[in-house]
Amino acid sequence: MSPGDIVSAVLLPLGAAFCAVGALGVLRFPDLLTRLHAATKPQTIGLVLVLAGVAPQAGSVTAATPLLLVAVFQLITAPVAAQTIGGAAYRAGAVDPGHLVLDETAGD
Amino acid sequence: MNAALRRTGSRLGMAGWLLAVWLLLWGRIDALTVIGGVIAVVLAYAVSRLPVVPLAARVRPVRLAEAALEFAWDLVASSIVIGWHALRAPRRIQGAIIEVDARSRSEIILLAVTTSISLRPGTLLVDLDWDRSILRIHAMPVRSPREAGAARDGVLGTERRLMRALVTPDDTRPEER
Repeated sequence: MSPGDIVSAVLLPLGAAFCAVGALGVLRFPDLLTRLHAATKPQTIGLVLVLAGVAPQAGSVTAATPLLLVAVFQLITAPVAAQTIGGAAYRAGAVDPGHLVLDETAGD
Repeated sequence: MNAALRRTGSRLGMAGWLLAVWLLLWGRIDALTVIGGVIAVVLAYAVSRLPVVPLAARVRPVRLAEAALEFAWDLVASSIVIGWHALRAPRRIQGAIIEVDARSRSEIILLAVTTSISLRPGTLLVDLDWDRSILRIHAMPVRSPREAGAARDGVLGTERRLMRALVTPDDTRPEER
């Protein structure tokens, strides 16, 4: 077993675990904003870890560089999706005040 | 740096990035892929009229690496916190919507700040007031006003780190130039 295999063996399950926890959060958190936290972010880390785990198996640098591109685009686009959905829910008044301890914008 | 020069610099930077993406997708660098890439970038610009992206005037590499490392650490640490809550007591999770006064007036800093707070589990941008530089952020888990203050400090800390890393014309005070 080469060092690259060990890296893969550690990172792939770790990434999968983060993705699984994110999916579990989507199921179990109570409202839209809290679900959005779970849906967009542990999943991002999970994907980056999976990509890092796949990289040693790619065989060559040229085969591994597109993985880097996937990670970069994931990091750029995930917050855009989260902010768009979160912002729409906030402006539409779809935020459940029962799950907020504090809302500094409530007076507006 | 005047506006026209900055616009040209921004365009060139964007073109360089697009060319890099093109070459990464091909997976090799030779005369044919580079020339093809330049043609593709020029065509893409002509057809799509890509907007001018704000640029930093100067980058402090060590500070930027520091900010990136702290970001990576935040990402992992708070993912574990959110994951723990998802496993243990998801129904009882509480959050807060807080307003944060951003000190920076620079587009690129605010872009970097909002991207990094929305990427990190625990904070999510829900609204942004450009004119007054106020960020409205949903933070979780927050159980008390004191924890809401901690979340606010975290956001301001991120902004401070990024302002140290990226020097922009909008934020530089005259005596610092």
